[in-house]
Amino acid sequence: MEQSQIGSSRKLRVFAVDPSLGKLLHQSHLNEIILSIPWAMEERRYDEPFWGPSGEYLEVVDVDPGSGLFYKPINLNDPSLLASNGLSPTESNPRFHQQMVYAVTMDTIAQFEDALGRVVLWSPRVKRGKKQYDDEYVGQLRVYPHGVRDANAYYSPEKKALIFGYFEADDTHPNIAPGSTIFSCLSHDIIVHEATHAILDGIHARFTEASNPDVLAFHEAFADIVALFKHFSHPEVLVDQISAARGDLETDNLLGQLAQEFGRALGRGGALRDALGEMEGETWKRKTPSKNQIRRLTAPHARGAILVAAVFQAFLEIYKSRTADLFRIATRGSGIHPPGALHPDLVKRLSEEAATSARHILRICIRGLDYCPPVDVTFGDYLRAMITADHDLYPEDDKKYRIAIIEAFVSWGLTPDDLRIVSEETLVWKSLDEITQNSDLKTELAEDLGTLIENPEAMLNWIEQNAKGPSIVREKLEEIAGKIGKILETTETPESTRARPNRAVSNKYSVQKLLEQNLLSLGLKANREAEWWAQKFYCQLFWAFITSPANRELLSFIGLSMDNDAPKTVSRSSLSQGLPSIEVHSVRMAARLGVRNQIEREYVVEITQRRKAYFEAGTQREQDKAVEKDKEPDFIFRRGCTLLIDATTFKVRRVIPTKGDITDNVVLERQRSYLSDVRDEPKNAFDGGSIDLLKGQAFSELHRVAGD
Amino acid sequence: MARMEPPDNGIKIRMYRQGHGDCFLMATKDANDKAFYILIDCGLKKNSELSKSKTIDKIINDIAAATDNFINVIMITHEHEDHVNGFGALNPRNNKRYFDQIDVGEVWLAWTENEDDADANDLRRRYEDTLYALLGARNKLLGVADLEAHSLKESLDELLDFEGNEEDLNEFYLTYSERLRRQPDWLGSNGDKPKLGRTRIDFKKSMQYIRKKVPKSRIRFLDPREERPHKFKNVDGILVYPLGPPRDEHLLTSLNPRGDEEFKFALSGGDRSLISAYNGENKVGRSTTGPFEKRFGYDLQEPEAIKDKEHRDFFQQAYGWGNSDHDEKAWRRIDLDWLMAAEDLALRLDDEVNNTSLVVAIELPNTKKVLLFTGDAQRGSWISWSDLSWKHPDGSTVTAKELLGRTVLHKISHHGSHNGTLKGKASDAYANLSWLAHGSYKHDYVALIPTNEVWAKDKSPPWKHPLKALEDALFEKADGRVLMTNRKYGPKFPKQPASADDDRWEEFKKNAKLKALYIECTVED
Repeated sequence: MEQSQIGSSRKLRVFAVDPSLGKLLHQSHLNEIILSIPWAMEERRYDEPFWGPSGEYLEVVDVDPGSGLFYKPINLNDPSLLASNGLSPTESNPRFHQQMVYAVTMDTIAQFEDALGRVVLWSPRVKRGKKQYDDEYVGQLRVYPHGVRDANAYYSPEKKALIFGYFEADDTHPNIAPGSTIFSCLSHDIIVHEATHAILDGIHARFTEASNPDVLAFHEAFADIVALFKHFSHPEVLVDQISAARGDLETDNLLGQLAQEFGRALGRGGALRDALGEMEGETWKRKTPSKNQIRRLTAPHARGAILVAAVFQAFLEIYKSRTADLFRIATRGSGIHPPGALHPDLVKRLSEEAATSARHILRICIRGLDYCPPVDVTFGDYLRAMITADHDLYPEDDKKYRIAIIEAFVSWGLTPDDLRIVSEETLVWKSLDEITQNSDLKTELAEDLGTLIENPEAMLNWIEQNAKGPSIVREKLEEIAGKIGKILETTETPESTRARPNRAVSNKYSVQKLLEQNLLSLGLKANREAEWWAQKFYCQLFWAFITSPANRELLSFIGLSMDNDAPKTVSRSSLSQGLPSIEVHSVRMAARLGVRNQIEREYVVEITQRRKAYFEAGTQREQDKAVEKDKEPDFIFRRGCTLLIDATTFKVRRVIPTKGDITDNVVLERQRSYLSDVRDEPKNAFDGGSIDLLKGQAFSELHRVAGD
Repeated sequence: MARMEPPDNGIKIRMYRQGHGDCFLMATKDANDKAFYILIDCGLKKNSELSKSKTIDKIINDIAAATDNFINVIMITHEHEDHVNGFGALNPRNNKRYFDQIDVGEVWLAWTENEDDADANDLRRRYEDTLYALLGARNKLLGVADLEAHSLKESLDELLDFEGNEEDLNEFYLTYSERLRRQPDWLGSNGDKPKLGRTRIDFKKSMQYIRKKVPKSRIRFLDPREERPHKFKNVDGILVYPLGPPRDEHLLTSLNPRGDEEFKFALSGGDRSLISAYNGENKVGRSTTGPFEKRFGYDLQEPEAIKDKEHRDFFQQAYGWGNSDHDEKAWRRIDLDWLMAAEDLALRLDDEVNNTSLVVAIELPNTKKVLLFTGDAQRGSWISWSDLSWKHPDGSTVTAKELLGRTVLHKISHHGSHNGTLKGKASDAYANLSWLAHGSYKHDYVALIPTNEVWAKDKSPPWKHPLKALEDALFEKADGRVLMTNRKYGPKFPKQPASADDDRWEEFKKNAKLKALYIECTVED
């Protein structure tokens, strides 16, 4: 059998929702679905064993320390499994659990890659080196299907691992046998939710720093949003539920709810979370939008639930407007359905509309990630990000997606607090031209940069003449080019003909060559590790452009400061006589189909600055004047901006700044007072408070309470 | 050392400065004009002395001298060591308890300590199940040479006052395990259980010691459900109203309480799976401890014995084993993650025991001023006070809200932690700080905080006892009249706030005495 003969993807069976559906007669037909994982994502030959599964992106390791056991790994390339789409869904065989977490996580990764047009990378392991912290590439996300004995599942940013728990059900729900074991790794929703945390952390590692009440809430909400809209990509469940709800999605149905079995097993009477409504006693009630609710809520899950509700409401409005004609036709204009089930053809058409609307909204949500400030994101920023992302893709909002989103966010009170008028026009992030229009600044990072980038020789010359510390830039670029060379050589050459490891890398991967071929433009064809290094490569390059003395005046327009008078707590550069330092934190390539279906690419460049910050305002003032080198800060204050730069013309198309720059004491005070509150609101009677939040390692804590 | 003389009218209150814990001695006059002494709690966290010279034996000797070796009533709020271990403190020279020299008239305890009370026994049974679960987790940690494991074990010991009782703990654990082996459904059942923990664990011994000082007939169990307030024997007029621990049938029997206020004690499904990890489930065909049939698993302790070479290679390559510091795979392992749940369980249990605190409002006969002693009561207890009322001997009805409104001396709960005192408005439907001290009582209101702030701040992570925000709120409410056992340099009067009236401030200072061993306040009646 040739690889090509078995289709383009591996097919694996999983529970459609979770094991509980198969136990209810009226839902038992929804028990199982099949997911397809492109072979290309596994980089593995089908005729070699595939234990774990441990592939290109994931490594499922089924160790259960609580029970003192390793569970036998599945071999997905076992011919009998290849032929039967994997094991059939069961609770009693841990190998099926491995198969399911693998399949669902891979499916989620694929969804992100499709939307973003680039490969998914995990956040790097940060290792304390001798002088500084070093990033280390992490190729595989670790997955532990039975890691803890707890009603809990979480993403661990330190271990780069998804850890799923299992527990005994409480004896309160009629549909769950008391004492039976509930596995969180068999809940489709929980897997997607946790996988999304990991993917988001790979894109925005600093979104785990809770600098305002929205940041962790955003992490939670985004993970829920992805899990919710995933429901609409399974036609079986979708058709069934649309039929049951008679097309009206604003009712108690599975599509708007998360983690059915988990929620019931904890004695909640229903799903763990519900984007649409809530149980009041025995009856389900639709949530009504409230502008003030958000001000009262501080806990990440509760705050996040508001964002989820707003996005879901936008989706419902779009679904309603897209199906209004179908309902008119079906009811002969009366809008009132005759009693009984809807016609299957109508259900099918409604399902298609629901699936299309969901897919589109989810894409907006995912693409919005590239339009967020690099740190300290708020729900208001995210609204602007979504609107800009969609605006740049479809300048004409002919399906009214953006209007629906804005309307929903306004009704839940999730708008940027510094905008007087909330409309598409004001929400779209500004271009550099717009920002500098009243000044005579030029708006290019380097003159003719667009042509420079086409001509590596000229580019290197420019660096030599204009960058600060050109030799250092050059050195670093060469170092990275060498690493990329090694990676690509190893993967491109067959093992037998591979050169000895110490041999110098051929000049195929010199700095110049890398500039010529731009590895970041390979999209989904990229080698992930090479892509990771290529991002570092471009970080160096953009750092050279941005910190070039010629661009100093420009910086203040994009929310950066290289002012000599900046407070002494602002981190300084060793290169330019103690001016504030600038870090190009990340460069990635966003690809999209332009209006006329041509592929357009832009660099997403995240730039940050840091400052030592203290809880005591007095200490802050002292340190601002004369910083003591060894005095540990209470927290790090970060500001900066994200730039979207057209990959061909090198025009700065969007400037996405944080609120205030690194010298802004008002914003610093706001963050200080928020963090002090968090600190003073301890999770138990003893600890001074969850300082964990400051360190960004709070997911296990967040999740242990299972959704509160 | 001298006798503690009761005031002519009213009552004197001593807050001892033994360390991070509670010890309050009160003196008033009985019907024959003789001194009548009441002691509430006596204990401190280990090593939390305010200074090396103020050890618990000095405090107890002072109590003995102050009362001429006879305390009329000892109240114990709850069983945590920082409220009881002074009672059991041993003199290392003769192995006798310092309290041996003191005789006791009556012992007053919360209803939760009553062995003839079915609800109390039910609570205790569930408490012991949980304790057992935690001991199991602790035992798992004992042998692990790992920094994280060590700090988790320390944290459990601290929370559960386990320190230094290895033998007793072991015996408790083994007896429990043995019983479970014979009768697996015993856990969480309503069946009769031996009161293992009550005599075998040190902090329980202190409680037991005081109980044994008096015949059973002279132990009173206080219950907020009672119709009438309590009286001290042969004391005219002073009434004692038990506000807590809460007694709510529903809260006690509900297995799946919602919200934090309620008693749980019972193990959740997650906790039960924690227990079954160290206590083989013995279900037919299953592995001893895992959720799957035996044939699916390999013993984690003996990876080398995995017969299937491909499987063994896979686990070795992915997870690895061995304890080398240089092990490149160690950073992603999860050997201890599952035990982290034990810490949450311990915290929950600790909070719940705090809520079993006896809370009393002591009402003086003439001015009707109230002294409020809260033990370590937390949020749930506060909530439960809201609707309480009693029949006063004069026939009127007294509500908890009225009593709180007349409070002039307030022992702050749980050393000033964030959840020992509820925030709120006077108009709120639940008891909170704003319900306290209204009308003319407002001007007399004094807050007492027993804590060793300096020691607590040194804990890792630091304990905020008191929490700054609460301290500020109290300072404002009391117009500066807040007394703490410890500031960095010993007991001091706080700075007079600009808002405080000079005469009242003088009066406050006149009524309070700051000594090396204690702070003493007089409440005139």
